[in-house]
Amino acid sequence: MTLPARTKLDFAALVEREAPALLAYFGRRVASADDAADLLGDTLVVAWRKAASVPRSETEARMWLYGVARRVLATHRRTLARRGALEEKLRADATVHTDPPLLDHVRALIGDLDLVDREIIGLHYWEGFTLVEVARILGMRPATVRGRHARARASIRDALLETGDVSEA
Amino acid sequence: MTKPTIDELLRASAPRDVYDEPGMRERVAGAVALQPKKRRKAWVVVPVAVFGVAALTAGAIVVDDVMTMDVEIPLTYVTATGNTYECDVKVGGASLLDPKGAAIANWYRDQDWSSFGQKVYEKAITVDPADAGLDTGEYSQAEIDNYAWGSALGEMIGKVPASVGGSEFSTGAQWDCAGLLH
Repeated sequence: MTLPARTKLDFAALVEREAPALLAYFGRRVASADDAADLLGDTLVVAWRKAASVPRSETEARMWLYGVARRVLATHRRTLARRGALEEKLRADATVHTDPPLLDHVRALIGDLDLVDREIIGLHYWEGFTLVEVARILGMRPATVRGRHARARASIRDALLETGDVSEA
Repeated sequence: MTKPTIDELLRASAPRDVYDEPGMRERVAGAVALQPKKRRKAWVVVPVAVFGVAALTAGAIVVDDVMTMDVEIPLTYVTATGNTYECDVKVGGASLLDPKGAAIANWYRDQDWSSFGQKVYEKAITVDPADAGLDTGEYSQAEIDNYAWGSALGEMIGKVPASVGGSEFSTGAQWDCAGLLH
């Protein structure tokens, strides 16, 4: 019996499809759209350079791409920190005047989480990754991510229950 | 009124997508275009510069039989539309025909070719297809671009100083980046 040949991944097409979503990823995590676009460019430069090591499965390759994006973002944050800048604010801070107050409140609660939990919530709810995929992107065990997600979600839910903004379900 | 669930609220809390902000679509397209486009077309062999006697010209045409392609020059250039291309040009002195072949090859090796690809591109886009009778409508844009690239490259890469190549030598080139002008 012969195994079917593995389909060759069209990485260029994947990048083209994912680029807007990657921009959105950065846009939700840095203070300006300009910074987001710069970080997207940095991410794609790294991605092209390492294209030989991209997983062949499209799903895996997509997570790999977000892993690269996350490392580029981390470098950006370290650079800001070295420059003595204030802690990077979530994009939510910049949109405080355009969204309903409840959503601003939710974002503020997310912003109070530690960086890893914030990333778990963002990747899962904003970028639409499953928790298993989030674990792959963050390089963590799925069980750890599930546990951290549950605790982070519960802390936000408890805070919103106190103000009566969320259903008990 | 039904209150939202925690999961609905968390999903709805995604900050707005900056993709729709002014100029962002162009920035994304620009970032995507950073992809190095490596084209591996069949090698095309032409004599790009022939100096001296006719016999050497013929030798250059049957380049695969007599010419050593001993210098490979990597080229990179960015087109007006923002595409970045990487390709290779292999240059050969007529080393089997000309005793100065090694000197010619060394001359090619010693040059700084870092901006050469861009210069060839900029020359290629000024080439007028009418000069070669390619403006008759019979030729595709790819064929015209291919001619333009080869014409520009041939004019620019064959300029070996007479002190190196002497008055009778030929040089040939193969490249895999012809026609990528957009």
